[in-house]
Amino acid sequence: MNKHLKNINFRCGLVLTAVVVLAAAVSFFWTPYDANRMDPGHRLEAPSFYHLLGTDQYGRDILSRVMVGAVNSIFVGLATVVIGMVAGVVLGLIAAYIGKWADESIMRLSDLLFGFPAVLTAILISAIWGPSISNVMVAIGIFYIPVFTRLTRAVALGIWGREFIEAARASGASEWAITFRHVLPNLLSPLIIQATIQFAVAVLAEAGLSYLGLGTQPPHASWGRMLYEAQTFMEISPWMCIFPGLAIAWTVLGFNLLGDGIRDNLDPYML
Amino acid sequence: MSQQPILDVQDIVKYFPVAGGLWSKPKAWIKAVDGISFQVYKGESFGLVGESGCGKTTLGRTILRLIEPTSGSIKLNGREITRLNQREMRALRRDVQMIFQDPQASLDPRMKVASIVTEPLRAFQKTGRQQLRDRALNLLEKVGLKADALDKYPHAFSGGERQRIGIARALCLNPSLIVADEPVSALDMSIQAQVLNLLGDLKTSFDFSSLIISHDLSVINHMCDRIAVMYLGVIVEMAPSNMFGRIQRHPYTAALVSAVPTPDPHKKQSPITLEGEIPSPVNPPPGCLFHTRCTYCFEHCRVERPTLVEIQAGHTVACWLNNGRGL
Repeated sequence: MNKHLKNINFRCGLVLTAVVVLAAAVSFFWTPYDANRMDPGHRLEAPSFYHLLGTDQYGRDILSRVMVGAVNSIFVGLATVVIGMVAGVVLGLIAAYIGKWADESIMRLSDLLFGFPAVLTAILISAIWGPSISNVMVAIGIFYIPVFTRLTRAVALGIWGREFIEAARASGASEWAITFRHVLPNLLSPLIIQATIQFAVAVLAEAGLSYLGLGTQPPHASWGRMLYEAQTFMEISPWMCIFPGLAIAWTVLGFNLLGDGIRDNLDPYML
Repeated sequence: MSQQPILDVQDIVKYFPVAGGLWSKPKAWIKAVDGISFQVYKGESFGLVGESGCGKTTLGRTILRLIEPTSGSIKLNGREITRLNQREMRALRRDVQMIFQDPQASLDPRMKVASIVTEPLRAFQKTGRQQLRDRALNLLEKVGLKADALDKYPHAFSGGERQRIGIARALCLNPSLIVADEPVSALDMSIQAQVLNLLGDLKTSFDFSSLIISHDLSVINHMCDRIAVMYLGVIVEMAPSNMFGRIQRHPYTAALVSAVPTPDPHKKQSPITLEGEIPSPVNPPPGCLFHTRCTYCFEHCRVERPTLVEIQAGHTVACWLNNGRGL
């Protein structure tokens, strides 16, 4: 068996995320029903053979909407983590390497950004560019930059001080080579952990912002939006909120396990 | 031994600032290396010995400009290196490599052995994957490690094996000078001997000169052609190793030599015990740096610092006792 698959976390995480990714991929070509088609004759129906996960207050099929919502969540999670991680790692490395004024200005700037609530950033961006899912991604992504900057700086400072860096320098390796061959690989573990946490947080944040009406606009489906619409009907048709909630939990768990597994697989001590 | 120095160090000084407040000037200076001169000749092993805190590690790193010297001159193969910029200095590293004290810390835990030992090669020329592996294999064989080590990570090896990896890395580019900073002090006794013998063998086959730094006089004596004794940032005595066991003219050297254990249990040992601690390099004593602990100290020692004076061919001592002025 492939050595990566031996890791139980990795295996479980892979299966869980594969299901979500697959559901999202399939939704581009096929969903049981049109996710946005209303059917007043079948409102608030409990799960049945025709509607596996039931229907909502407009008679829309919940399974179809959960599948379409998966696309949304995956995109938000990936895009925000990529924005935050790329910018954050670059800034953090610069701060740690140059130090002095660069460190001071980058860290104070990220304090400033960190002190600004994400929701406020999202509202600000929505106010400028209008509410949409891509603006939500940008807002959450910007909010993630200081998270990754701080982590990168803190860990990189420690790595730059270690003796194998000095050994590499004595070997004649350039500062770029040291950064890419020694510093980044040693940064990987904490970054992956942080990325999986932030991915999960992004899925929840998108849900929260859609709930506030800043993210996904009706009638489009997103897990957060579905939860928001479901809360009025929680007592008479609980399946409306159970399934999108379950989808969120499933995805978050899947990515966390996957992240743990990747980290373990990259750790030379675990092999 | 030809008389062309590979390494020529003149009056090298390294002071570290003791930080004052945030914007104020440094409060004081730690005089880690305070004016040291010596030469390492082609094919020679030069040993630098001294107790912890005497500045020998700082000196080793300053010579490679891993630490910038405060002043002084370092010539490598006749070329002044203290004023080279980073780029020029990097090019020069092809010719001088280092072996570190702690093989645990000096090997990247996330790099496979094959990449570690070929790092110097990759730093200087683009080399194909297969060539790199061949080179790595060749080096591992030279230091006595098996081929299956190539794809392992450093943690899979014992201390002695890790140090062999570190040695293989230093040999990668066939340097003309290797600086070994306490190459065996992190290893236990039986392994020390193995690694030292390996270093000795490699020195013959790879034909490099070496600067070996250690606190262990027996290691230095075993490995080196010439020995310099350091105390508080200066060299107090320098002599060929074959003269070393018999005559020491500096009281500090005498104390060091007498403290080396002998393997004969019946032989009564009477090590010279030095009183007190090594003084702080922030505030070194006036006059001879050793006078606070020296049993032979007299008036003049407290006033003026002695310089290295040649008392025999190749044997220099910095002590007033030997300058014809004291005794």
